Amino acid sequence: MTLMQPARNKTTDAYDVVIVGAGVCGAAIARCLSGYDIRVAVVEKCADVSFGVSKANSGIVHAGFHHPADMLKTKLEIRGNMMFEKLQHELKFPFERIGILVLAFSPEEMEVCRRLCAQGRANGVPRLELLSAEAVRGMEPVLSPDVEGALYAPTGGIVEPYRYVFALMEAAQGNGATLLLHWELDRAERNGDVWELRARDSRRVRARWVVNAAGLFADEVSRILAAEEFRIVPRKGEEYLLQRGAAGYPNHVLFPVPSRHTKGMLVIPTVEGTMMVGPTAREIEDRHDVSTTAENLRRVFDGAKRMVPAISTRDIITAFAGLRPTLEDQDFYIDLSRRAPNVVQVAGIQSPGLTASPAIALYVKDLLKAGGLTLTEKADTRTDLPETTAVRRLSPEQVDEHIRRNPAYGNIVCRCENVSEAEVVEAIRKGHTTLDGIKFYTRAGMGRCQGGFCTYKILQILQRETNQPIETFTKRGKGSELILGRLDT
Amino acid sequence: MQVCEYDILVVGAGAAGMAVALACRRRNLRAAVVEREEEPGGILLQCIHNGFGLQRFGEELTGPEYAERYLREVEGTEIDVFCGTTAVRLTGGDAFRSVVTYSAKYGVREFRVGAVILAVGCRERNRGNIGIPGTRPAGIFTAGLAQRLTNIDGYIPGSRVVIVGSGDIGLIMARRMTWLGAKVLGVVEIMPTCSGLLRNVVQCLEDFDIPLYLSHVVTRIEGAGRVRAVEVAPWRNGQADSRNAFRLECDTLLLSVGLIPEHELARDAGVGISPDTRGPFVDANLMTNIPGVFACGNGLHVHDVVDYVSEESERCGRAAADFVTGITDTVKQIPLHAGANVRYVLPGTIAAGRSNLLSLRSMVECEAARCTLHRGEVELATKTFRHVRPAEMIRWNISAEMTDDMSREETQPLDITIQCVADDE
Amino acid sequence: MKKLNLWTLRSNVWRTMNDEKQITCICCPRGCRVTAGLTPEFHAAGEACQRGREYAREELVSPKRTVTAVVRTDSPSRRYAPVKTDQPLEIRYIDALLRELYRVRISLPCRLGSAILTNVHGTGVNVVVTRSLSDE
Repeated sequence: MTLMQPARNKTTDAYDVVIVGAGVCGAAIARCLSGYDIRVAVVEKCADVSFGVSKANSGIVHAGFHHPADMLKTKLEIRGNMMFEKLQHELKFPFERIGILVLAFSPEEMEVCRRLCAQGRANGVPRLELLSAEAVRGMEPVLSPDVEGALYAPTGGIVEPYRYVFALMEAAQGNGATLLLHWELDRAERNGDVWELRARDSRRVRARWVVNAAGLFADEVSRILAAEEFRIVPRKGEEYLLQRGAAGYPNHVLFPVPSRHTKGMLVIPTVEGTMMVGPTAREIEDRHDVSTTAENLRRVFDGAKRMVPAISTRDIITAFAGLRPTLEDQDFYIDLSRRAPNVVQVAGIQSPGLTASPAIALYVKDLLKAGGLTLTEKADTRTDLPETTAVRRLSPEQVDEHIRRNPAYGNIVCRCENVSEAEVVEAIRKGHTTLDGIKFYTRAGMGRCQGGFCTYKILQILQRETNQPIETFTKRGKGSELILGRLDT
Repeated sequence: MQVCEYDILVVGAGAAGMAVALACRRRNLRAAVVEREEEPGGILLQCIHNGFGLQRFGEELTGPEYAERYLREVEGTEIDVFCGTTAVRLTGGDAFRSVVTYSAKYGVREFRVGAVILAVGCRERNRGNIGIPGTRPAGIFTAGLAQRLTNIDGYIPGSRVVIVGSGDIGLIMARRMTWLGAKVLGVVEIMPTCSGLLRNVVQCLEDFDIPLYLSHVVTRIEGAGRVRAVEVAPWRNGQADSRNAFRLECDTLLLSVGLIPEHELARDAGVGISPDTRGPFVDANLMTNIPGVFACGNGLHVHDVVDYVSEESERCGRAAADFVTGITDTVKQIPLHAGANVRYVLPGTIAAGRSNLLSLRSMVECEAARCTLHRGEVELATKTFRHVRPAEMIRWNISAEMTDDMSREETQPLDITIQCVADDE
Repeated sequence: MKKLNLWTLRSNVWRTMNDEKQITCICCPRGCRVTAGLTPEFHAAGEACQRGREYAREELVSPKRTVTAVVRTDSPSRRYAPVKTDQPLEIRYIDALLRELYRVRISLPCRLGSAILTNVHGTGVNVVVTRSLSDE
């Protein structure tokens, strides 16, 4: 994956399909389309892949019982869920099918579990089970004694969301897709049967088809394309990350019974042994508002402690907030535009968007085909990514072998997560050149010290690898510079 | 994987590690030190300000000067120091203690040693630990990270700075940033008293008219890319008084909100961790519950001044040397607990018939306080200390005579209390 | 019990009624509060030792501080070396000294204690390196 493309001086690059947005949907669609004999580009306004909605994802692979069968998102959720083993096998991102428990604290809530169970079975979710209080506590000893029963969905799972999105994009690029970063759509014109898209910095791309996978900004992109009018309402969720070894770490993803708009405050074990609690759910106006509040911290922990009393705010490593892009009817809107020619809308992809993403990609591919795009499978498509090395997952003997080949595997840059210099260099060479990009790719800076010890080491490696001055390095792209001056300037 | 055998392995070549290794070497033991950074010296190297060594050397040194005294001495001995080497796993055992290390230069090694001494230092509490609400822009640094950037790399993190927490590193950084040409808008401290040393308040804030907002908290961070402002509010009765909040426009927020011993290597080995110090539980020999595994310095508990780290580490080195050379410690150890007004006391036991140097942290602030060692209702020893406050550690030497008859008593646990008394007592 | 909250005081040196000053001694962590004046002759109270007395006199006559900083080296790998004034310097010279230090460039290797500036502003104060560094 090469994200830092040298600026091309050719007037315009021409593609068959341009995808607007490099979040989980854009990346999944790009990977899917890169298997065909067409030219694909992804344009992204941020400094790296998954920096919008996707990076604040809870990382749950949902089972498919939360919504009724007549919603598009239910079909895509169930189809997507079943694709994850194959995806993991091909793309090597962390994924575990640990199962989901929806906990009931009263007979009324148990009734909701029964309803969800019936709905899930009708949707086609396999192996759903209703559990007694004894059975669920046997499976999950950290639970509150007040739990009266549960719905168990063994097909639910957890995934590291950024590594998943990075892997999708890397696979797409490996098959020839182009990624353009810092590329914010400003204008679009239709010349004959070709779209001409212009970025804020005046870069241009031409394409026969445009896929609008712009997340929170899908409504603006739709307007620029003179396509459908709709409104994306951001629904904010605040979450808290708890350190590895924290009290109350569960073996399953724990849900309360859902309310009308949200699946509630969850306790989510992560693939890395840390734990997330949250999210809150509040509809807001500002699409950039990812702030957290003290009041919500209390709400989140009250909710989490009701399920798992041992959970403690003492174990908080960090808090973050994400915005879910929602449409009024709460369903996904994935369709050919009826107003603008050769536009596919992929909007309102809130929960369970990550779960559904591989199925969304197939659905979009079918829409493009139905719309007249000729898709011929490429003979030389590579479905697999090579295995990457994470020192923290290896035995000392294996690390020794790696160090023999590349000594940088022995230089531990991030002591909290045991991330080696070699992994940081790999991230940079793959184009993740912001501090957050490196963090999401390697986990360096994601542990208990939150970058206190590794930040300067990463800055050193960045300088060596990119040969850029220190003032140019950012947390997450332009405007988030880290160092504002130097003594010797 | 190469196996290396030594009598002693010290993890960390900072102030504690160097002192403990030298103490072991003085007993003619084969000692090795592993250090994850590229050179020995630890955090002292970035503490370029003066104020170190008054207790130890009777003169005022900068951090690098203090470190260099020990480094020179280490260089003159046969202590093997392996830099760029990270200890990733510690295991106890009957025959030997094992530490696995990773290094670009030396590959993976397993050190099999008689005793392991953890001199691993501490980390800084960060934004997540104290839960400051708001956005997550660039420009939020722990004070120690900022210190590293300015004093080793010559980088200037920002130009308008607000500091959260009145810990010493924060105060020192207020002066450093001012001397680098930045404007420090204030230091915000949630407690009604400053948690740094007095001299630092005087020389780092008052010399520059930097406001110290006591009983205040940062209630919000603003800014999308880089920090743009913070909102500060008085802290009253356990909550922020948002009606009297004010806004400070700044591009940088430095956090000096406490230090936590890096106990993870120990914890993963099965060492018991104290919820009060956040470091290992240790006995009167500074040994953890795993025989042959010792701890000292800021990785054990956070000290006020480095001089005490050196002193404690030398004691630890002597005890580890005793352990390795088979000088079996038959001295009876009696459990010691923190009583009224004591946040913690270290070590966790008192050795009978020996002098014992105790480190205590008070939960109260008073002009004079009486520390008392009790066995049940019986007062065994008492001493009055002046200017007692939570931020300053009390060091109390219980003499051998005082503990002499303990070896004959049954091992009923002791406890230690602090009581404020009239100033003139 | 006397309740004295030091930390609310806004200045190191402040005046009392009879033209005396209260000075917080910083010679050691004890932090004695010294009341001192110059008329009719130097007098001080509240200090625990002779150093505190001398410190109070200094703060009244010509306050001085030890200055520490880093200076640029000619090495690409160890770019800065720490330095300090070998004695406290009068506060009024500090800004000018810092400006000068930020322009200085020294060559490696350097030895702890070696002077890089001597007799700063004719005060007899020198700036010395506080860490031995070699260019490696």
